[in-house]
Amino acid sequence: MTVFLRDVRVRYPAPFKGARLLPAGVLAMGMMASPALAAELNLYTHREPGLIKPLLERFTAETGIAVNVVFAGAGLAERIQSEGANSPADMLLSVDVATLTQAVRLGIAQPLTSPKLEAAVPPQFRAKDGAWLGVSARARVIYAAKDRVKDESLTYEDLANPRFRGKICTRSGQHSYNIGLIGAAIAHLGEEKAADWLKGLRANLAKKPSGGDRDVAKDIAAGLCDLGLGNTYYVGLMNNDANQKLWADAIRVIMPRFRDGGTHVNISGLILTKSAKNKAEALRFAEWLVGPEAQRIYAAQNFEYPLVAGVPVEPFIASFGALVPDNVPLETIAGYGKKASELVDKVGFDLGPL
Amino acid sequence: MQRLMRGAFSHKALLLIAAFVLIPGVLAPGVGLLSLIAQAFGGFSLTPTQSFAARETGLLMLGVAVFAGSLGVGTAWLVSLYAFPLRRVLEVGLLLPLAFPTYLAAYVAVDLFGYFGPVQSLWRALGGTGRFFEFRSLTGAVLVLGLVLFPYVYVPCRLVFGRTGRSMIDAARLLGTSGVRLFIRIGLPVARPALIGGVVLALLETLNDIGASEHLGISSLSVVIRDLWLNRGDPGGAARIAGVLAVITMLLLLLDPENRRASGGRGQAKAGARAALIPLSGLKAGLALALCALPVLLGFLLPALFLLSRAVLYAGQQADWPALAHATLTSLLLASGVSVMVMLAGALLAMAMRGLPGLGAARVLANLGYALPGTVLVLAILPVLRWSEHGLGAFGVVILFSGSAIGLVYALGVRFFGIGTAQAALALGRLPANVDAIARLHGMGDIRLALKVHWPVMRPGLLLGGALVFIDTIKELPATLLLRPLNFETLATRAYAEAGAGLFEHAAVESLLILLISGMASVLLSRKT
Repeated sequence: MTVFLRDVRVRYPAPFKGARLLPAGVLAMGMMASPALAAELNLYTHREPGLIKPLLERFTAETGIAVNVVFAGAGLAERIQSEGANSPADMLLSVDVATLTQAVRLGIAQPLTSPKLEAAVPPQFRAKDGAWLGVSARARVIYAAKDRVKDESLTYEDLANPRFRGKICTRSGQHSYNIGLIGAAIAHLGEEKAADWLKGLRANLAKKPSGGDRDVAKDIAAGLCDLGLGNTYYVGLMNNDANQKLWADAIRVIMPRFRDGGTHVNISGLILTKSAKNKAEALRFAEWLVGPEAQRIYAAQNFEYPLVAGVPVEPFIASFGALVPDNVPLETIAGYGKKASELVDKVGFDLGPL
Repeated sequence: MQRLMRGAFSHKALLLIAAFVLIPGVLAPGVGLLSLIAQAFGGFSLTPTQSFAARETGLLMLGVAVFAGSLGVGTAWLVSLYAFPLRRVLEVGLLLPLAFPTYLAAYVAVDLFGYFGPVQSLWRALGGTGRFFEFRSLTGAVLVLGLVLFPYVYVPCRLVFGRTGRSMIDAARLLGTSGVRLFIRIGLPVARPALIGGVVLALLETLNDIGASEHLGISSLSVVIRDLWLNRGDPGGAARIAGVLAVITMLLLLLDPENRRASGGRGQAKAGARAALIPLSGLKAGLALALCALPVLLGFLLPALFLLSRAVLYAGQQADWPALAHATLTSLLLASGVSVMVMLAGALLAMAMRGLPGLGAARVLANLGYALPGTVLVLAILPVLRWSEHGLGAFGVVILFSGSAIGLVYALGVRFFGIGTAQAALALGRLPANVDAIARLHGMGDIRLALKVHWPVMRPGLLLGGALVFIDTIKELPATLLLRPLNFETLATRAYAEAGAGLFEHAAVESLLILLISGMASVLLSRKT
């Protein structure tokens, strides 16, 4: 019974079979720590379960280590902090570098290092001290209406150009994907000019920011706007979904760059918690995620950029053009996260076009 | 005399009972909230965007109040007084929108009426052109939220029109008042307390919503609060705004006349047999039918059919039947557990309030958990769980509350404590106070009085409240998502996980199951009223 909510995969000893049907089972749960029947790993994740499921299943099949998961859109680092030394979490998997560094700032991380990790992941995609580790990458690019946008290449700065007045769609400026991009803009342009840029971008919006990246493609396909901001892998995912292909077909991906830099790349990554009780399993999981097999799954099934040399980019994603990652270190971008959020607020970005 | 009789109740025992439920239900999360505010004590000021969000939230609430209020009271009036085709079906059907979680309604509305949705596609196929109504707007949000929240108004109003206020309405009719005049002169004043109570509930749900607002592009205060916490690492600021919001909400609750009344038993006349309905014919019957059918159609049937079509479209692609069955079971267990706990706590508090009129304010305070946005409630609960662990740890007892189902059930219990208290108090209030006195004169003791007299009287109210809490728990998202243990999936968390990836269609089966379960509970609810 105690095992019930901890690990769904555990087989119930016969006497306990009926017990899980009782509401009391729910109430009584958690009274004791579950006995470690086999090697396991407790993972808190901001990454959607659908996207990591193929990876976790493969990992368990290969290593016999069961992975127990909690998913939430946000707030898990804060939960680990509050749970303190008792936290069951061994690792936090998150969707962007800002959340990871925020987790480090909360004091819940411990270094995650090994020669294997250092050999596999290029230094710009992991913290120097091993506090966080990138495992996959995506670029924040421009979705452009195939039939209405002639431009072959655009810079991020161009998005504020008045010639795009009323033509741009995006999700909320406060979403971590946009916070990352705006943080990069602050790094490149300085705070003042970044504010002007964001004001220009706001003026160019076709409507109030809403929905997610897929909605941007959908709105372009519906003719509501001509340009939008979105992550690369969504295009692959939409292209692969019979009911969404229409949206992917309506857009062309432009790989924008900063005038004095490259394309904004963010990572999904891991931290190892201070309270981790399954440290060996956690390290094994991290090493496995940056190994060739997991990286191939990231590329082929999730349409992300592999971080490890030698693993090819998925052909459809590669067809967008070569990725030239921005030169601003991820930690700098993460450091500007709070400023970026304040800027979005100050500029009134989420209020939509003036 | 009455005072003396009340004195028969041992005050100390009652205070102890009240403390037993109020300390974990109100005091602890309240202290948790204050500890957050104190963490980073600063001035209270709003940036322009935040004040815009405050304004937009205000407008949204105003819109929902007017729309859900008029829809609820209007349909309740029609089904209670008039006979028209399908009335009996619609009387129950009007409860069904309650089954729709607001976030789900928003996703469906955008897809159903969006450019690629069936409505616009059909329109274009028929040669139609031009821009359609955009649901991703303030008006759209008012419509979406109003359509799924109006049953909160409909339920109590129908009770008034059909039972408690019926004699007054019938008297007015005998005196020759009819039609719109009857509604405005008699119906509205009679239903006012019920109307206000229902609207307040709808507004609390509106204030709490994050999912729908975000999807529809509304800058609501709940979203601002979450961004403050998570994007700027400023839980203190988030808690400050939430605290102000909670105070405003408590004041809103005072609008509900039921909350201002002394909570001792005052007794209400029992309604007689159900009065005859006024037959409508021709155009009038058609109009009544349309007015009552439209909310059911738009607030439940159409979106449910749309979900069904998505479930078929994506059948086999995502269906993971064992996991789905497990999530259904978990949802049911969680909702039952929370309902039972909340109703027990509500019953205890109601009995204590009956004996100690000075405790009347507890009725409003019990709503603290309901008045806080879900994310902030989690923030306020987390320290409570930690303190409890440390406290017990000092005695050598190691119990993990954080990240356990206990923590989750507790948080949800705090969230819905107000519903339990309100329903129990309402039911107990119908029992005249002198009944207690008579029972005492016959030598009944505290416990026997509670078990033999109060408990049976409260039962229908407890069942009603339990059904409401059950539905709300099935639909609840932010707290469940953030506090659940490892591998703990409910139907709502599964649906959210897909929606978060922009694929809510993949969770169409989960969404349908949410509708089915809470729909059945709301029909059950209609039987009880």
